[in-house]
Amino acid sequence: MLVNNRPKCLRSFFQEMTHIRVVEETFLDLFAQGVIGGTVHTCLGQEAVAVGLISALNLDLDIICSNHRGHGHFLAYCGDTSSLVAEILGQPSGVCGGIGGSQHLQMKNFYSNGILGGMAPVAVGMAFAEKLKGSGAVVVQFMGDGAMAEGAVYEAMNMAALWKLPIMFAVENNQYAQSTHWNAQHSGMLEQRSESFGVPMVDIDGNDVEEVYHTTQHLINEIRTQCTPRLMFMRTYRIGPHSKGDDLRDPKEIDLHQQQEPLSRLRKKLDPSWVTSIEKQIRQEVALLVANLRKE
Amino acid sequence: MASYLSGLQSGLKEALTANRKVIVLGEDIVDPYGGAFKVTKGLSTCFPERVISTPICEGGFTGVAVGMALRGFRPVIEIMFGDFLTLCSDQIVNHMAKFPDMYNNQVKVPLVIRTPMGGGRGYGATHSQSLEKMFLGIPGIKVVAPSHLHATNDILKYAILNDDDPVLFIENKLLYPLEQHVHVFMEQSVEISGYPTVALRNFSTGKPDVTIIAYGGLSLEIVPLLAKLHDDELNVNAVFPSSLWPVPVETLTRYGAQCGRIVLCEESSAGFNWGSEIAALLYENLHGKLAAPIARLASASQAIPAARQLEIKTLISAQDIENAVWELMS
Amino acid sequence: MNTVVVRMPVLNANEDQAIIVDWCIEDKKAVNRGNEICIVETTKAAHDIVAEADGFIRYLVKKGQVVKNDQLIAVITATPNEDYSDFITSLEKSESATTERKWTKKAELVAKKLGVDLADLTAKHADSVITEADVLEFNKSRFVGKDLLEDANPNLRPQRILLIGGGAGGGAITLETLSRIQHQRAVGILDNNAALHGKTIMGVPVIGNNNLAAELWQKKDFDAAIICVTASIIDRVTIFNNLRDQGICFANVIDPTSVVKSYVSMGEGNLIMGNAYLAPFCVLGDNNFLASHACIEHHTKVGNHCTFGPRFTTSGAVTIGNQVKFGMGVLVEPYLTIEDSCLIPSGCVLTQNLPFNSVVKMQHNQVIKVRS
Repeated sequence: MLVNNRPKCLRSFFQEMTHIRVVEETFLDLFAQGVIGGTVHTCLGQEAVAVGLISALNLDLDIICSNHRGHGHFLAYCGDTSSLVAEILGQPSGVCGGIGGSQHLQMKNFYSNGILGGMAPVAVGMAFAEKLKGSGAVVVQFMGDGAMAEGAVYEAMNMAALWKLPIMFAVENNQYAQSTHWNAQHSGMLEQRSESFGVPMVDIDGNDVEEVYHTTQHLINEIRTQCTPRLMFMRTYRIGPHSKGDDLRDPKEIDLHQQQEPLSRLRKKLDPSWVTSIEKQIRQEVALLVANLRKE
Repeated sequence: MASYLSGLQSGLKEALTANRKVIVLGEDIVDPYGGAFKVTKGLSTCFPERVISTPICEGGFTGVAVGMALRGFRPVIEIMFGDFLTLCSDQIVNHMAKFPDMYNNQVKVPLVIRTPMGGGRGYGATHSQSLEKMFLGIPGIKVVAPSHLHATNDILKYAILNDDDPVLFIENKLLYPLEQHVHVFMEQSVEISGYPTVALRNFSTGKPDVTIIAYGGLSLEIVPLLAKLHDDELNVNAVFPSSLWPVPVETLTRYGAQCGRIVLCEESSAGFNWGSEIAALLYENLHGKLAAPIARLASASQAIPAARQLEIKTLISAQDIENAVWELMS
Repeated sequence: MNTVVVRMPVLNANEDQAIIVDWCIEDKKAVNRGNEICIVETTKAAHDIVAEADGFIRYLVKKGQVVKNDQLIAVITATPNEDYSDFITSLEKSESATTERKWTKKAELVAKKLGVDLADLTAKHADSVITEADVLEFNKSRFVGKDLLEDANPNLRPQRILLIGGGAGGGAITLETLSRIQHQRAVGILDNNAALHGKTIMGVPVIGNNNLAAELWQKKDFDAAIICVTASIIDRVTIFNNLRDQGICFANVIDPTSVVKSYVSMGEGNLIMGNAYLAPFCVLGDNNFLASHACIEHHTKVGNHCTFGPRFTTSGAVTIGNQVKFGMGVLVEPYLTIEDSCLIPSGCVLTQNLPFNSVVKMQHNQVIKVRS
């Protein structure tokens, strides 16, 4: 199921991204209805990162370390919507039996945790393990601009470069750390930091799924063959709130970014009637799946 | 007969030999330096690919070890001084300890964190503490602290090779040069698999007047104290669990019940420590069977001074323990 | 100037010894305060040891020798050739004196608990350390009743009996009786005969006057008292009331060879000797003394503080008041009432009721007829 032989065409990207969008919007609805508690961090507007990057991996081999905003990564990794929804609903059939919840997902080579920057050294250790095994696997460590204020990230980059480990630091610069703009919590340029550790960086438009996909293919190939780390810096924007209803940004700013969000951009490249029908189909599928799970 | 140090050294070596998944990481551990306290001396010469010196980033390389453990290795890391565990605490508490439980037991983290604790060497406030109490009671980890009555070789090897839970392995700086203390009046019970509790008594038959329960480096003070108390005709059983967490509660209760007079000793600072929990458990289990209130001893609640004469006053001493014993008897 | 000592200082927290590398000043030469005396070396570094006084250096160890921390290296004397051996000897003596033990701490603790003054034992144990066992032995000889050793089952141990007025024959027969009783144990004797104090009777110590009972009771040194005075009923009454006012409990001491049938009712403080017989449904009050072979038949009621001589016998349903004294071999016909404080001499056969305070006279050798 994980073998990454899914078609790598625009339509399939659109389908997967729309699927993530619909599932996450459903989570926000369920939260508003009080059906799910705790918290959910959605990646609305960042779906191109999840789908573009993970589509370029060898999913039988490669390892993903995700963060608190990891539903998109998880769905792009395994497409197992049922076990994700069950997990968020706290059901035993959830990916971690309902114990993990939104921020703590684990399936095969996918691991997420809710401590910002905390998974960076763990991912380095996984890369070290795979290198020692000679498995050829690459570890992808997802983090945002917020996590780049954590010291653990830099300890991780230093060790990854020092020991020449097969790891890609995937930075989703969605511009906000909870409610704080990246400008207000970082001095200097985020994208320049890794190179001083000897980790080469590529700076791309994270809202362009094709660019994310192709750049990832290229970088993963370099990492796999040279066994050295890379950092992919992806510029995107979180159009949703940090978690739920806690958004104090200027609506005009969000509107501006709505034009640039990945699904709007992709929609323009596709046949409108196909888009309408596939969107409808996905909404129906997700609604049915959620309704069935809620009956359990 | 092995010393505390040589037992650890050979334990590591035997573990590396026995299982190719064992990896040793830490600061300055490769030869010729061989680690600040020489526990890893000679290892990197024998296993150059699996004994790796790290940058000075305790939190970072603890995370690395967690990652390795998640991916099928059995890493052992050395934190040069136990005081630096605070730097690792996020990885210990929010990563290492959590993964098996919060991932619904779909993963294992077989990882051993070795570190020396304790004062008595004039290293001052940030290199002399006994901070293990900060990690007691955290679900998902074990905290082990052998005394010099334990075979460090066996315990360390068990933790590395046989324990699939993460283990915080506390060593004591002052015990390193000591030979393992072995005596005919010693008995061992294993309530927590792999981590025995050793009891040493100073009398041949009959029941004790007082039971001392302590761990780790305090065996250095207590073994000679037992001889002194023997000269004063006091029957004392000194009990040293090697597992601090989980607590071998049945074993400790059994020894505590023998006389109903119990002294709990530890080197960490007073207040919310190991003895607090042990005392609470013993009160629950021995209600009505205690001849006197349980005495709890620890070091003073203050930063440990560097100057020798000041450090001595701060740390728990054999005299403190002896005073408490006689206080219980009178 | 006094002689000054030079000791090996603690140079390194991880080592307990160092090597004397070289002398800086020759033996017996003058030194001044602050002069370097010698160079010592640990595994980590070399150190100078300096003089802390003016005088003449006198080395006690050799160059190249390994010296333990705090060990004497040298002394500084006032003159170059003075004999310092006495000084060293006295130094050693004073050091060892502080560690010399006269008794173990356990002995000290037990002595304190038992109220034993360890000074009382030092003469006997001048050459050995006084142990717990020594203290216990001493205490036993002093007063067995002060037996405070912990008993895991205090309710099951024998009742500890204190004999009051036990210095005479009554005490002896009570001790003999107690020696055959499993559940009671004599722990001490009180008697107003000062000549007996400090001695033992049948191995049980005579501790002091009868009035010591209250103090011993306070200290929980016995569980119950028994009055052994048999001659004087007034004494029995006085002692009994006095002790009972102090809250002291009394035992019934009943010889195992006597027979106490079912449905017998008995107060406290009764002393009943061998082969006595208490028939069913008889009632005995407090503080009565029944000598050997005394027989109290069925439905007889006896009050308090009475004494019955050997072979006294009632028939059934007799009523006896308080403080009645019967001699030996008195027989009482059934259904009679003997009121308080009567005195009946030996051998009487009572055939009629006796009013309060009666004294009966025995008519001996009464000739009723001369045979032809």
